[in-house]
Amino acid sequence: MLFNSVQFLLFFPAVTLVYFLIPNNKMRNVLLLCASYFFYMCWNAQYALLMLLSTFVTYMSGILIERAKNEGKRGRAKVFVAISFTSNLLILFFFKYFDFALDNVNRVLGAFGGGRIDVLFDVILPVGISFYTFQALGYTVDAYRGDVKVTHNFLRYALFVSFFPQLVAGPIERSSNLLKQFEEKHVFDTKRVKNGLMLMLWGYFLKLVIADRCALLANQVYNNYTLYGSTELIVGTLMFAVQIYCDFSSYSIIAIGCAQVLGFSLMRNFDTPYFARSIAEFWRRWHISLSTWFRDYLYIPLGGNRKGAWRKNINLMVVFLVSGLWHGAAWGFIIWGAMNGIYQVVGAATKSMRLRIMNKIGIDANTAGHKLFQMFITFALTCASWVFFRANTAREALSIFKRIVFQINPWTLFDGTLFTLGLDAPDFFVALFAIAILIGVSASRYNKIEPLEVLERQNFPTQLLYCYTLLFIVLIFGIYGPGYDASAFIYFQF
Amino acid sequence: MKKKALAAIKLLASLLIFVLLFNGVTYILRDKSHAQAILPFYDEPRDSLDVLWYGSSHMINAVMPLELWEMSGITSYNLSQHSQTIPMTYFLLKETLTYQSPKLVVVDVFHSYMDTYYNTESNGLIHETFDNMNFAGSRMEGIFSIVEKERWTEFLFPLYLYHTRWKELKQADFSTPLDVYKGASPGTGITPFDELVLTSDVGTMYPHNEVYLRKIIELCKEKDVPLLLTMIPCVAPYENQVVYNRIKEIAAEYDIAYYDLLGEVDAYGFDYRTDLVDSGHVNLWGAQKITHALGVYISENYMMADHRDDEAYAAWDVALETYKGNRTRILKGLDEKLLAL
Repeated sequence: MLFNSVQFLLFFPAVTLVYFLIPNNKMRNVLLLCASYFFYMCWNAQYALLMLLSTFVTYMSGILIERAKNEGKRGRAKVFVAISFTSNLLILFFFKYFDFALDNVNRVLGAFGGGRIDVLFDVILPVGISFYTFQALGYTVDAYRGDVKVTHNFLRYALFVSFFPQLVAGPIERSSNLLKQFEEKHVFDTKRVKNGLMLMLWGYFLKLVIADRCALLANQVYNNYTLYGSTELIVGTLMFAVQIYCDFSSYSIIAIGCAQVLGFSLMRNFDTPYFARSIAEFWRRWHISLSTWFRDYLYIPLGGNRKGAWRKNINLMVVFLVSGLWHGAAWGFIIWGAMNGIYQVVGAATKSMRLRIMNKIGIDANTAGHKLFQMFITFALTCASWVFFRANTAREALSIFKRIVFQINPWTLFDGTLFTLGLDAPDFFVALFAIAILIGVSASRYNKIEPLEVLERQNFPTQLLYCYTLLFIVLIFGIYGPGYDASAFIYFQF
Repeated sequence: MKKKALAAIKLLASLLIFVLLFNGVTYILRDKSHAQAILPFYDEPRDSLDVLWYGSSHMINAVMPLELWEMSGITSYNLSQHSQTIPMTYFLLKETLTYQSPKLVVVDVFHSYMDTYYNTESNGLIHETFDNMNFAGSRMEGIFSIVEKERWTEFLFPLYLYHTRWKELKQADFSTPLDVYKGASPGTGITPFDELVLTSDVGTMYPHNEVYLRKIIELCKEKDVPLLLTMIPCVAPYENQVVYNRIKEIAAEYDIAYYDLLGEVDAYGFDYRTDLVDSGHVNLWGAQKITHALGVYISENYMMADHRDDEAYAAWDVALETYKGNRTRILKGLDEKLLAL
C-alpha cells in the first residue's frame, strides 16, 4: 500500500480509530500487527512469510543469546549472532542480488568464452526487505551487546519488525527505542495527534508537489539523455537531487507523523542534508537511521577509526561500498557508494593541507561566504555521485558526465528549452516555488528553529490557515489522479 | 467540560470551513462543459416546470423550451447532456423529480443503441451529468451503479481528476454558467443529407440499457408522471433503428407513448437537406420544427395550462425576449449558409 493512495487514506484513519477505541494494550498491539501484515501483503502476500521467517529467526536469536550469556557462554552467543546474520543476509542476498550476481558471473564467463548460466525463475524483490532485515539484525546485535532487554513476547517483537509506518522505507528503528514503546498505553492526545497530522501533511507536500513533479523532469532527461546537452543534464541532475531528497524524506516524515498519531516516537531520518559542509557531515544528516546502523553494526565492529588512519580509510570504503550495494543490485549504486567513500577518504587526507593553505592566504573559515562555499562544493560532489545513482546503467552515467563536460550549451537556459524537459512552464514554476518554500523551511531548521514547533505555539486560526493553505496546495498542485500512475517511493526498490 | 465543548466547536468549524473550501475549489477547477443544462435548473422555482426533456446531444439541439413557451405558454427545461446514456438519464430523472413535479417527462432514446457501460467515451461524459448534480442522493447511487470501482474516486470527488486544470483556468471557471436557452443549445450549421431509409425490423437492446429504460418507465409510473419517448431525427443507420423499434415494443408493453419523430418527418416538415448540422444534430430550423411538432402533440394529448398571462411566470417572458434576439441572429446566419451551399 502506498502512502499516496486512496487506499491508505482509508486504511490509516480506520486503524487509528479502532486503535484508540480498544482499551486493552495487548489487543491494540494485535490490531497493529494485523494491520501491518495487511499493509505489507497488499504488495505481495507470499513475501509476508519471508518477513515472518526473519522475524522468527531474529526473535529466537535474542532468546538463545540471552540464555547463552546467562550461562556465561559468550562464544556460543557469538555463534547465534553469526547464524542470525548469515541466514538473514542469505535471504537478502538471494532476493536482492541473485540476478545481479548471475549477470556478472555470465559476463565473466562470456569474457572467457564459456557458456551462460540461465535460470528459469525470476526473482522479485520483496518490498522493504532491506529495511526490515536490517532492523531485525540490529536487534540481534543489541541483544548480544546488552543494549536492549531481550523480549519473550513474540507478538510484540513481530510488531517491532513489521510496524507499518516504517516497514517499507524506514526509518530503520533501534530495538532499544521502539520495542519498549509497544509496552506503553497511548492516550488520545489531541495536540499530539494534530501535530502528527500536520507533519504528515508536510510529508505529502514534499512527495506530491515537489518529488513527483521533479521526477517528471529527471525521468525525461535521464531516460533520454542522448537528446540533451550539458545544461539540460545538469538541470536534470539537480532536479533528481531534489526528487530523491523529497521522495525519501517525505516517506520518513509521513511515517513519523503516522506513528506520532498513534502515540509512537520514531527517530528523525533527515537533518537538512544539503546544507552539509562536507561529505562526512552529509552522511550524518542523510538517511540517519541507515548511516548510524552502518556505523554501529559494521564500521565500529570493523575497528572504526581506532586502528590507525589506513585502517580507518579501509573501514570507511567498506562501509560505503556496502551502503552502495544496499541501495541496489547494480554497478551504478556501487560506484555511487565508492564515490562517497573516496570523497571522505580524500577529504580527511587533505584536511590539514587545506587548512594550511587557507591560513596562508588568509581565508577565515568562519564567514558566511566560506560556509556557503563549502555547502556548494559538498552539494556539487553529492550531485556528481547522484548521476551514478540515477543513470540507468554505469555506462550511461559516464556518457552523461562526458556530455556535461563537453556539450556546453548555456543558451538553453534562456531560449525556452527548460520548459520542454518534461515540465511545461507553469509546472516548472510551481516546482521552483515549492522548492523555495522547502529551502526556507530547511534554512530555518538548519538554524535550529523548527517551523512546526513555532506553528504549534500559534493561535487556532493561524494553524488552520497554514493547514488549509498547504492542504489545498497539495490538492491542487499535487501530482496525482487518473492521469498519473501513483508513483511509488524511490526507496521501495531497496 | 468547557474545554471539550470548545474543542468540539473548533473541530466542527474546521470541518465546515474545509467542506466549503473544498467545494469551492472543486467547482472552480472542474470542467464545466455544458453545466448550463443542469446547474441553472436548480435555480428554477420549485414545481414551476411543466415538461422536462432528457436525452443526449441530439436532444440538446432539438428542443427549444422558449419556442414552446412562445407557442403555448408551457414551461419546460432541457436537461439533456452530451452522451447522456439511458442509465444516466434514469439517475438524473430521479434527482430532478425531487425538485419539480412536471406534467410530462420526455426522453429521447437515441443513445440506447450504444453499449454504455464499456464505452469509455460515455464513461468520461458521465462527469457532465453527475458533476452538476447535488452531491448526495441519486448522484451517489448512480456512481456506485454504473461506474467501475477503480473510478469511483474521480466521480465522488471530481477534484481528483480535475485539479490539473489549474493551468487552464479561465474567467468562466469562476462564475456560474449563464443560460439563455433553458438548457438547450441551438445548432448553427447546415450539412445536407439524403432522406433516411426506414426499417421496421426489431432488434435487441443491450441488457443494461433495457434494465434502465424499464426503471425510467417504472419511476415515472411511481411518481405518477406521464412519460413520452421520442426519437429525434438524425441519420440513423439500420443497426440503430432496429433498437428504436424494440423500444417501441417495450413502450407498448407499459402503455407508454412513443412519438416517432424520426419515422414521421414529413408530418411536420423536417427536411434532411437543410435542418441538420451534421449526421446527428439538428440546427435551429430543425429545432423549431421539432419543438412545434412536440408542442402540437402535447396540446392534443396532455392537459397543460397556458401561463403566459400569469405574473408568477413573468421571468419567462424576459427570457423569451433574449431568446428572440438570439434566434433572429442565428436564423439569419442559417439563411446565409444555405445560400452559400
